[in-house]
Amino acid sequence: MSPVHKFSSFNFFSKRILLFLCLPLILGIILEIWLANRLSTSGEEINKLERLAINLKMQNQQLKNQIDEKSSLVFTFSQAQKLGFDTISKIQYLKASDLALNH
Amino acid sequence: MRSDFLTALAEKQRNSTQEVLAPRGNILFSDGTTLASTQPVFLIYAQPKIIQDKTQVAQTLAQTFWEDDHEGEVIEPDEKVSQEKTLQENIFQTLSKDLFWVSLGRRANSEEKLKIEKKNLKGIGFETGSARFYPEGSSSAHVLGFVGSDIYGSETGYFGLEGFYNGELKGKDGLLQQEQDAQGVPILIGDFLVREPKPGKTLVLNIDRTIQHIVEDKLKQGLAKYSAKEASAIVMDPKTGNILAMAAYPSYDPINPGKYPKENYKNPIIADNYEPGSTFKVLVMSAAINEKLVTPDAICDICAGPVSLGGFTIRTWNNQYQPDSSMTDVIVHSDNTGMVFVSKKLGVNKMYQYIKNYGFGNLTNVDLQDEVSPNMRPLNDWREIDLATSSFGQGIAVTAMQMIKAVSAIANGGQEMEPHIAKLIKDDNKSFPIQPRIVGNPISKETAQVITEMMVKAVDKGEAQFYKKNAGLANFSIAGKTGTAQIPVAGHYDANKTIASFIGFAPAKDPKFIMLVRYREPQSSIFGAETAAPTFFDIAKELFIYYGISPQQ
Repeated sequence: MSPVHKFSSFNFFSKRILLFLCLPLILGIILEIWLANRLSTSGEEINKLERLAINLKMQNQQLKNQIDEKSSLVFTFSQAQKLGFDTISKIQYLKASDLALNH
Repeated sequence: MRSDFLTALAEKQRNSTQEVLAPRGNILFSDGTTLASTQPVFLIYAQPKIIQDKTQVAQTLAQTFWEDDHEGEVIEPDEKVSQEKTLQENIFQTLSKDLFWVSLGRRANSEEKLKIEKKNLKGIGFETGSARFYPEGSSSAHVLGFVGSDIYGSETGYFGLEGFYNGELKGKDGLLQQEQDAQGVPILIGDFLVREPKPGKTLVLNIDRTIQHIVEDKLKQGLAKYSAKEASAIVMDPKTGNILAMAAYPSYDPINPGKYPKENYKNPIIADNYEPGSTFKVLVMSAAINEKLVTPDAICDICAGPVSLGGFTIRTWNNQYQPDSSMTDVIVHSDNTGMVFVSKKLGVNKMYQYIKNYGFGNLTNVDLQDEVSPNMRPLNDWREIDLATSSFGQGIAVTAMQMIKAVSAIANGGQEMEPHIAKLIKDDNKSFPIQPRIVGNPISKETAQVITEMMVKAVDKGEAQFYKKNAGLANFSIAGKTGTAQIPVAGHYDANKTIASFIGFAPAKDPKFIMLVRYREPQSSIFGAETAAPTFFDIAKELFIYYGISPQQ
């Protein structure tokens, strides 16, 4: 007896129960196929995110290098000269007084 | 049926494998600021079979490359046209090769890459790589060394720290292997293998950024002022062996070393031999005092005139003689005949022993690549004249690093420290500090004190005293010694060619630094007292301000 004949020989409630049990199974299979497809085709998205991460890291390094350059002594010295700063020419050393001065 | 071959071919089609480069470790000054880091660079390549109008592409690229190479420069229009034409021809030849892929041999920074991308040149692409970035420009070139490629095309450090610490700095490249579809897009649920790259370790140095800048600035000024062929200086903390600054000229730019003569790559402080001249006298005198063969007040009984020895005549530098000079006078007046007197007291065996005890004839083990140590004449080969001449620093070859390490024993109560550039090696998880290490004890603490006092008198009463006062340091206690050593040329000494040097430490009783300054063949004056000494005092003045040291006298 074929599965179709077997099915048609079931009573009404048995058919409903069987359909009710098969539905989640069918839905599950469809969902799995859909998820697998989404996952397998998300490679392109992952690729984009990876490239974005690499670019951001590169930009981060470039910005850090710019900060290092602007805070370098070579740059500070050249800017100081442009602004008219000069080297110390005279230093006065103060000796500690032997007296306590009260005003 | 070639199953293995076909399997491998299928695997290659199905899987993409790429090396993930590990970033090279950073090198930081003692205060944590950056001396060397990395920057992204883009190797420009061409696909000749895709490029249709090679002439146009070559011309466009040549213009861009030339503008970037000569930014800010003023060049004659004819010269510009000629240079661009040469560049264009070279690029055209490369593009005309019968290849699918050629490198244009140029690494562009991000600005240049953007400029070229905007020109929408078909068949021109970029491969990302990394190169060194130096925020301080060409400062500290001899300390750093540079990064180049080895015979396999891998990044390798040469000379200096980049060479010495190459293994720690280079890190370990990673690997990314993933299954891909027909269009090369990764399949998430496919095979995936990743080995994370391990970044290179970071070096934190003992080099003080401010002191390095001061030394480079003053040395460059001195090189020009005294018209010397070469100049070098090193500043060290005698108590720890930490090297605070090191500079030498002529130098080079580590970002583009190929533009400079290869002779400039060598660090003369560790890789050049020289005869130390009178700076060596303090070491010989310390040996005799340590052996209790002489005292500072002992009288030299051969100092009334030139000394004849084995067919040679030994004179003072100025042919002036002081009968009955004390040992202190011998150091103050840099008296060669007085040093012959001391050497005779010491004898060959003890002289040789002390030279070895001070570390000469051996590497100092400073952490820089390419250090050398000149060979010492074997003890059996020493003649009477060698004993005499070595007492005033001629006929013996040393490096500047050996010299400062030896004299630092005098500054450090008799203890000699191993010199170090790096203070700390660290990665994300751990730090490895490099501890100071005592490597010798050639003289006692008492001897060190005695020699220090003699060196203070040498500075205050010797030929360099005027320069000390001129620098405004009259009330500072500085121990030092000048040196003027003739350079041997073709088997004889040339009286007009000298290594002029000055070595000293301050404050004398509790030194914060020891410094050696050298000029090779200064033209304005051959003497150390008139060239190296003024530079020493100029730098020392800045260091006193920097350290907040007030006068001791």
